[in-house]
Amino acid sequence: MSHLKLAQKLFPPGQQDAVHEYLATVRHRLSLSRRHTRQLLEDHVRALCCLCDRGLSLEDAMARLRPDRLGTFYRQERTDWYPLDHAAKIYPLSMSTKRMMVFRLSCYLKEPVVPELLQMALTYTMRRFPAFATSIKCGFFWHYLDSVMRRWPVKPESELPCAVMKVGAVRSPSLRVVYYQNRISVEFFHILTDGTGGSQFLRTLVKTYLELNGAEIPPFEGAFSPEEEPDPAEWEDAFPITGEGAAKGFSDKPALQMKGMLPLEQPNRVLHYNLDTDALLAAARSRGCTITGLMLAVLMLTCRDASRIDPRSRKKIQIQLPVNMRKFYPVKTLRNFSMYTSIRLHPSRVTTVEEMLPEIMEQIRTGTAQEPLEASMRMSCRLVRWLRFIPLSIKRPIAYFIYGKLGDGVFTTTLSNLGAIRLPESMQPYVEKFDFVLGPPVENRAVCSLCSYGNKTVLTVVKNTHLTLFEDALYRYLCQLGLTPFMEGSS
Amino acid sequence: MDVRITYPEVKKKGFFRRNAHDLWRALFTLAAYTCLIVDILTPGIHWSLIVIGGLCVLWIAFLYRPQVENTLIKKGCDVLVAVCLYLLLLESVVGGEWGAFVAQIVYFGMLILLGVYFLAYFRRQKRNFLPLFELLLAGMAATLIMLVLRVQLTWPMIVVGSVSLGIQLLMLVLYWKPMRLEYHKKFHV
Repeated sequence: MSHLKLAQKLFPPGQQDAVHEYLATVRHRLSLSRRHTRQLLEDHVRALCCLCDRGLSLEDAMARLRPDRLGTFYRQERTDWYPLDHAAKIYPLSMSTKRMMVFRLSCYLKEPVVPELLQMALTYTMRRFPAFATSIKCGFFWHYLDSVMRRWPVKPESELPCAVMKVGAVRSPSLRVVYYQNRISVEFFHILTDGTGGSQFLRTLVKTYLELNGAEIPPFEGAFSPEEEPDPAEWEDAFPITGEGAAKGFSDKPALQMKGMLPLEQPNRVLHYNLDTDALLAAARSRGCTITGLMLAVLMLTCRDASRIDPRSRKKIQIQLPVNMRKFYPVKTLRNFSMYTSIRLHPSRVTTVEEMLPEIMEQIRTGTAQEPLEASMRMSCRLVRWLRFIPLSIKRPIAYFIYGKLGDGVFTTTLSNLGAIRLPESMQPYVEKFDFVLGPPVENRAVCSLCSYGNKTVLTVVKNTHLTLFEDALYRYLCQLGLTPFMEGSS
Repeated sequence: MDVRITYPEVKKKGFFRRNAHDLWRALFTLAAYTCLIVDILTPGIHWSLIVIGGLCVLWIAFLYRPQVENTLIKKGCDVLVAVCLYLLLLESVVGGEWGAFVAQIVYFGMLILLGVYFLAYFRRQKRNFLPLFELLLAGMAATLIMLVLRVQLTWPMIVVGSVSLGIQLLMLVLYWKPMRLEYHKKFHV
């Protein structure tokens, strides 16, 4: 019994009995495989020791890590399963060993992360998100998410963000929690959720972690309490909400692509442009536009500079702009519920920010209106309906081929704006900032994502080529707007 | 533009480890093409088909890894299908009863192995039953079609049908409730 040996090693003889008794209570709440049970018990021992080292008495540490926080989540056999939502159905069909739709959300704390407590925070948090505590499985017609009884590990960061996940084993998780210095990151396979659901999970995880660290955080909107019962509405596929009506296809003309060879390994580099939110807002307001509009104008200029322009070509710079559909429907779902629109300009019309903004803002206004997005949603519902009786073994190679051929070729790049992430005052002294990283694209040379917390806005660029034209141009244009960014990223 | 590095140094795997799958694929493809060209240029039976089929079986048995549900049952079923198809190919190239006789024996032999494994470890394996179910269905369908068409049934074919039906019935009789849920999951539309 390695957890007992570990307890023997870490605690003085006078505390052994109390620790053993505590572990027996924890053990009573577990019905996992032998390996996972051992690991979870070891997690408890390490977390207890960590809290004691921080000056807590053993009793207080045990109270903070009280076994009933596990609930029955790790004991009772789970039979829940979840069909993939309409948006998620394409992701497992089109993935390969080198291509997978993964995104990452990170929270930067003001202190280095304590892995032992983060592990326990994740153990407690998972029970509140049963649809995330799943593994992808093959059905005869579609993939689905099947519940899994296992320990959910926290690991030190060792790869670039959004690396391909191994989801083939019987109990493989579809999310990954990693830490590095003061950063807690959660990487989600897109079949689970979108940015909104992901940020809810991350905030809950961070809240639980800080509580284990001794912070007192009252309940707030945007994070759950791990002890509360999950609401089935959170796992609903909200796509059919649009009902019947006009449907519009997804087909589009090929977009202009930026220069640069695609690397063998993706992503090639991740860069964070740290911006001042007030300055960014002021820059946008002075031009009578939104932050998204301003960033799109800057990206248009950047894409133009990073592309080989053929004046005779009709190809446009097309920027994919995801839209959160929750702003139209007050649904509780944490599953995928976003659509996208495309903002397009011919390179000859990409001139200056001020000249482009009226056109861009008009395109944003019309493209992100409810009707066109609903039409796309209906189209996706129809597609799923038409394809539903075709066996997966036939659908998969066709979808893989089509996605590989078309892929993201109809876009030059993507700008996903998660918006402002809000935390209560009680959490603010502990959190520095958040960032949001999209997975590497197939054909695009770079994709961008934006999120803000307090006065810090982070624009993240995921590069897919060795050429530095894109990031250099982006930096230059941001500086020209008076928004000199502080740069961080991978080597 | 100075960039503060905030990510750990990624330990790069060696070239061969990193690209092992692609290199193997290139090697297999090269071998297949070489055999095909040599075969076309020389008279006699089309032996290259046997080699290419063998390479496909090797690929499926040792190198192919499904990205979703990479389980023992799935692997066993994939290998079984590959071997049976290979035996049919062998029969069409060199003659004999590889397809009509041996393939059926291999089929029911493997079905028994996989069925016993599935039922013995039902609690852990119940969620991975789809590939086995597909093979059981194929076995029953093949026997039924032969009966309907009044083709003379060989004893291995009768065993294939009986084993398929037997395992399927055992699954339902022994584990009706959990199997019903699994069917519901696997066949949702």
